[in-house]
Amino acid sequence: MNSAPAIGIEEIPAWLPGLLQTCDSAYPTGGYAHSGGLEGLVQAGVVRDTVSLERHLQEVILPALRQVELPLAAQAWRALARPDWERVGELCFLSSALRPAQELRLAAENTCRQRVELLAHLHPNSLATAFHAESVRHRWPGAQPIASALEGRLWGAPEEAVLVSLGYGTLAGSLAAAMKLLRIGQNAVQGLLTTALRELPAAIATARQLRDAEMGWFNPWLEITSARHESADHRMFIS
Amino acid sequence: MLCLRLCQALRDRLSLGVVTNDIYCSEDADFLRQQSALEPGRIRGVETGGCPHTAIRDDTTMNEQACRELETRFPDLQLLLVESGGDNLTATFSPELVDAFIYVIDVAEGDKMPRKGGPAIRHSDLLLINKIDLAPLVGADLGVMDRDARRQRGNRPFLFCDLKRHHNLPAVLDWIEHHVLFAAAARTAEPPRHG
Repeated sequence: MNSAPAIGIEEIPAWLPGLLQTCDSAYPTGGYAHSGGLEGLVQAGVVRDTVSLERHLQEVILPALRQVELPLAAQAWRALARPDWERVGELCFLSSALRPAQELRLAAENTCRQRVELLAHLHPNSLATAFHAESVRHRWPGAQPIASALEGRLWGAPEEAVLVSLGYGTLAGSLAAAMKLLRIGQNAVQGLLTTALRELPAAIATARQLRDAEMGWFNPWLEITSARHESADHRMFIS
Repeated sequence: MLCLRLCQALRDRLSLGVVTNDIYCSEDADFLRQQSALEPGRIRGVETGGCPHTAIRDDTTMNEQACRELETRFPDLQLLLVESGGDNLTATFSPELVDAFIYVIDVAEGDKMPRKGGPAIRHSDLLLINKIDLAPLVGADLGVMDRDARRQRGNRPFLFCDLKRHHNLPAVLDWIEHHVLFAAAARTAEPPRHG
């Protein structure tokens, strides 16, 4: 017996398909080219199996979401309501400044630029085209969480849903990269994703409360291995 | 050719099955059947569509189902070969699909291949550099390939082969017996997987 309440198709929010689109494997989030620093950690032997990968999710990915990606997206979602372009620009620069390793910073900037250009193409004469014009005019560095906020605004999605989508995409993207870098199969990966997703609501709740001065997170291993990864003689991912 | 040679060498001693992958045909399975590598029912061709390397790593459903089908049909199976991937340097096998992973490259692709690296060149359990008889015809330097394979793989094994003429096939069989079958026998507590 199905205990979930039935709802009519008209009750499904219009923004839901839009956010699902942003999590699609064909959406340009950089998932095929970037591992978010994971490859450097694998090469250093820090992440080497299912156990260390789970620790990576708990000690690297989720804290980075809670302290950097999610609060930036939440603040940007609020700033884009008016829109307050000065504040949006501040957040773009803050996003860039919070990524010490060059290749992680460039990865976030380049994929954001691609997403904003796509959004401007898909939604002509919209908030996306205005964002694109402002970002070019003021030379804002691209910022993945700001792009997520923009996507949410375009689809009319609430802040919480935007953050869930960003969190899910980040976790799933990291695990997809892990499958190419480690001897780990799809069932094990789905198990890790299921566990990590249980932690996401708490990370979102914290992230929504953070002020600018409280944002930021730093893992020396990640930054050092990412810096080394830039000049590695062998790599599958750009970052 | 590796699957054919393994079937010919092992079929009288072991209960074997083979799953082959092709993108939009069953060429490899047809070849094995035409060569009478095994009885036809033990050879299962999977059309993967799209990119075959995703069917051995990212979503292995089609290959898993084919393996289960053979295991159900032949409960005494001792070794199941899964052939896939073409010459994709990024191809790796999911550990949930296979116990051991042999990667085969071809001298005719050029002596640069080991140097290019990638997870298959570097981390496969065994690397085979096949068709060494073609080296003088294509200007490939086996010394360069040997040097680069050592550099890429460290202590992991690799072998130069001409499988068509059975050159170094005994070494491949020896590796399978010691590092796959013997290792599998030692894992008595674990459920069998495909090799």
